[in-house]
Amino acid sequence: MHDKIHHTSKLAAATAPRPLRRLKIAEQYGAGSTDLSRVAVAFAGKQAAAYGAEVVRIEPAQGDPIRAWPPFCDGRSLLFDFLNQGKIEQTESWQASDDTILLTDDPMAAAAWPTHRVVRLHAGDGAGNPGVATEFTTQARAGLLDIFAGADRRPQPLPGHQLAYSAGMAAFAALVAGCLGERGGSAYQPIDVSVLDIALWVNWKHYLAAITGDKAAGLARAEEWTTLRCRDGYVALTFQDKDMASLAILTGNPFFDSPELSTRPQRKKKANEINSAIEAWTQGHTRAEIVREAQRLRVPVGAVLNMSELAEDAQIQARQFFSSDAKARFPKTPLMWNGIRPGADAGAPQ
Amino acid sequence: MSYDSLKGIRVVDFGIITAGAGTSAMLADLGAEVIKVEGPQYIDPFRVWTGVANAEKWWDTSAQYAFTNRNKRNLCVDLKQRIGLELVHELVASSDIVVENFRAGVMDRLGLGFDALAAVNPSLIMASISSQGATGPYAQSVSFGSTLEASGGLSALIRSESGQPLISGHALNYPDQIVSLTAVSAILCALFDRAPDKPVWLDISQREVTSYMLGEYVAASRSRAFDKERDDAAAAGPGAPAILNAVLRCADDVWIAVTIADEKTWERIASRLQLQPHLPPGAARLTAVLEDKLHTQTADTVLRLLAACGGSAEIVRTAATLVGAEEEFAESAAFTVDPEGGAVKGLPWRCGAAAMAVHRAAPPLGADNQYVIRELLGRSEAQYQALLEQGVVTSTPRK
Repeated sequence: MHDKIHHTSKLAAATAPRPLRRLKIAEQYGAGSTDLSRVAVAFAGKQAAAYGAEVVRIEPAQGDPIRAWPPFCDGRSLLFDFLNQGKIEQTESWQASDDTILLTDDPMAAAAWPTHRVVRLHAGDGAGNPGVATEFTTQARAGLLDIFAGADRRPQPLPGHQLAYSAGMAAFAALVAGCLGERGGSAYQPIDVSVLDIALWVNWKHYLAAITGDKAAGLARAEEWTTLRCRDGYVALTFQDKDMASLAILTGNPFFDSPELSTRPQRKKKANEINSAIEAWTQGHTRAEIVREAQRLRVPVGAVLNMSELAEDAQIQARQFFSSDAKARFPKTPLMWNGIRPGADAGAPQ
Repeated sequence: MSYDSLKGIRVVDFGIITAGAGTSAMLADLGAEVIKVEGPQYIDPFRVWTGVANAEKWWDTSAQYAFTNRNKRNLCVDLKQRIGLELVHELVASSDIVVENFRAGVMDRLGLGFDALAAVNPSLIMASISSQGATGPYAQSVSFGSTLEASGGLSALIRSESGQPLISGHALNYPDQIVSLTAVSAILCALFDRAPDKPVWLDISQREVTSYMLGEYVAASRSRAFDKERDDAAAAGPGAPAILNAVLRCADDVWIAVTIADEKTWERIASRLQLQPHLPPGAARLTAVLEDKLHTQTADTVLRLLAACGGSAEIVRTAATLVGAEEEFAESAAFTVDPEGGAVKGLPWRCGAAAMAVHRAAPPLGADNQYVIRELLGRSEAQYQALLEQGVVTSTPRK
């Protein structure tokens, strides 16, 4: 491991990698933009900027509504700032060069673009129920609200802008794939990314359960993996056949090593009993104690951390994942490229 | 462009389950030749967890494996035998990309770490997807997608009415799904800027990806005051600011998800339902008012009512009701069928209005042993047969 780190540091460039430095991208919105798809466009552009592309963000004449979306710091939208790190701001009079790729969710802007180098984001496929698709209703439509439902609780959404961000990430991948294809001799063709498609794609195991008739996979399903209360919060513990003996050692309870819990179907039937028995142990310990002991026995575990606790986490700090900005700890690009994170720790356009 | 952007690119794929296997599947969807490498002692866990028990070739029966390994080839080689490891080194030498998602350090111990592989292929792009990244005090942690939901900050923002943070569990393992999009993006960027004798190692932390997707909340965490604001924002529901994002239970025991974007929409709904026009304070009270009025109506009726007033509403689809939606989603790029007629994941975008077509069903274990050993590595038939006899290559797992 130490050799690898040493070797990689020898390989590393002195500055952040900018593999897309030759690409020019314009981000444009319009009357056809929706709240859901405009976030996806902005997130796709954010990725391109992080990898060194010149990303020009064309501020709509009426302003960008995301500037008024929470959370805020000193009156600025942190969401806006997070989405627009590293971009160049221009007004609608800006003229793009011929080789610029358009990222947009506005059909009119896409139609008016002079080349086929266009990536279009869509909120949905237009065949759903009336009303504008939102992050929330799209999660519902794709079965994602079913994931966090239970016999004794209401369906819950994924927080934030998970679908818009996922769609933005897919759009960015598609954009670069198009450039690679173009380099290989294929003409660039317009790319379409639907947030609804992404929602279904992310939730593929639910769809698979549906088509194979496993109707018990969803709402109010028996789930033996859950969060467990401990002395100072919660932990999430997961386990498989091979972990049951370790779970017995961890908790000092031979129940977990019994033959009646040796397979997942057996454990699903006794999910509540299992969770109560584990919690009887976790409640007497802190998250740190549980994580340390479970990891020692190689049982997958994670402490439930809030954002402030994340910032104090030794792993996050060791890898310098959050920016050092005292006002806003933006997470950096979540990977190392030969030991360095792509993307300058840049602010958003003013 | 069609789906041949990566034509001529070869990927050696040690990816398993979703995070790794899903990454290389997308590279295969884009035209790369992806050779999934498994060993007789260690096959993709999806084959073990979700195969049909007691089937003759149980390891080739997993639908989950089929979903995440479309368009690939398969080599089953014993890496514990020196000659097996040498064959894989030789394969990497004639390839462009390696994808793996073992625990940090495992590939090094197998003799397949970045240093070893870059030594045989100085232009290699290697993507290592791990729990928390290859460096740092927790690099060796064992995790699942759902434990990373906890340690990545996601669970703290998804809570039951009693305040219990929630994880997605087997049904989703959310971080596994999104990390593959991140990994593919980075790999494509590395290909775009590829230069001879400049190997690239992408060290991708699944936990960091999880937190990155909550970037605005992370940024807002510098003080307790911001934590409070963040929690309030999260409680208001996902997506753009709205008067309400809530689920309502209808008379037919179906949940409806509704977004009321602004006060004007609320006023129209209040008027239609003959409710007081002033907005009840707080999402919980507003939800209660709506549910009190609508709980005797069927889901279809409620949908029509809300839609007529400009509200956004959808039925909360479940594993049971997704089945009925098959026809609606037939045109979705999310899913497709392989040449054998099996349902598989698609590539989640369209190019030139066409969705990606799968040209090769997920391969059985060792299906392409002969192709790799004879055609790619140039061994004779006699040499191939010897490798089979020695158990260096096989199409049967050893339990």
